[in-house]
Amino acid sequence: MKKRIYILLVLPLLWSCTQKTFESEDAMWTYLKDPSNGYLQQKTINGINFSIVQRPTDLLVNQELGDSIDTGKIKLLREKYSKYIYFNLSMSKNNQELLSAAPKNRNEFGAMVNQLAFGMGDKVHLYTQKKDTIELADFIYPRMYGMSNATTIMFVFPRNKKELNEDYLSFTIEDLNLYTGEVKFKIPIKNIMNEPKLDF
Amino acid sequence: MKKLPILISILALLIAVASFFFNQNASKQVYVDVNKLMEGYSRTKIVRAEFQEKAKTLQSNVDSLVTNWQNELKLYEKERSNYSKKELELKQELLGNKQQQINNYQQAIQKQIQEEDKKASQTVINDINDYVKEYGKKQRHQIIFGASGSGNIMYADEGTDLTQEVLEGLNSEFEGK
Repeated sequence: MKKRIYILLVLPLLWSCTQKTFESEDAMWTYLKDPSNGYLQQKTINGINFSIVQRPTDLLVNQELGDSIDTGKIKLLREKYSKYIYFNLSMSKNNQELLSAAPKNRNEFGAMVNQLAFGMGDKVHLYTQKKDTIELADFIYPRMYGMSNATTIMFVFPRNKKELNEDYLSFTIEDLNLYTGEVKFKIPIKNIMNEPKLDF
Repeated sequence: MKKLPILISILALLIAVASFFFNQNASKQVYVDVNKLMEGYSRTKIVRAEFQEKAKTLQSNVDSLVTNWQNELKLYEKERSNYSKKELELKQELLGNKQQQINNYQQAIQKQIQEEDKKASQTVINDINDYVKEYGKKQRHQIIFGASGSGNIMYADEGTDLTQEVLEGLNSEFEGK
């Protein structure tokens, strides 16, 4: 009887530690976009909406894989993409892209295009609780020409295990001349270590 | 087998007692003094020093332009008797234009200094807001008031003031301890 009680107590704990697996990309996005799961965080400062979502490795694998399901290729791609951590940062004002809503004149528009396309590496930082910076590997800003309701940039950082032994990483965005000050998100390490997977 | 109901009832009793104390803590109304947090936060001093350095550089640009213009004015006053009427008019126009440009530049710099100040303060406010929010969630407070010294909290028992505790946590997080 005692054994059964122990099993009943320990089982939920074990269950909470297991990696989530999803049948489809859409199902995974639904899970990721639910803030209660901790992968999506949102903030509004001075009228600017910031949201950050961690993009699990398997989403990138699936993107490259396309329709072909080849077990060998999946393994190779997982190895290739799991060397990095990916974050999608979205910024918007009045439910519009920053470029459509924030600049007041042509000069400001030009400066912001330049900032978003080439200068975000100087503005975005990821660091540990001990303030060790994780150097940005790359970032991608796809221009949407007003067709999206947020400016979304993907940031890529190396996944070094020695930097992932604390509770969280701090992801900061310096002020982009929008009077938001520095905006910070705390990324729980357990979410990075325990990324959801796709069932290919 | 007969012990099971007793075991379960003890467990239920323990949970009830724990939740009683837990909820009692959560329902307590507490507050933080925002001004004290701003003043005591380690980052405020750093951000303020950075801002002052920036403002000083910007202001010194204006000062050197003004000094330059004053020297030109002095030279004009000294040598005006040697100029012809047309030269005088031209010189006056040049000095006037320059003064106008310096005034415009001065206004732009003042605006830039104000904007930099706003950005610097917002960074500190963001940090404090984030920390208080996280602290409140962790400690399961239903509400944390922010007193700013302008009479929005007229009286509060000392035990409800969390400023010091929050400040210590805020600073140790910033210092990476």
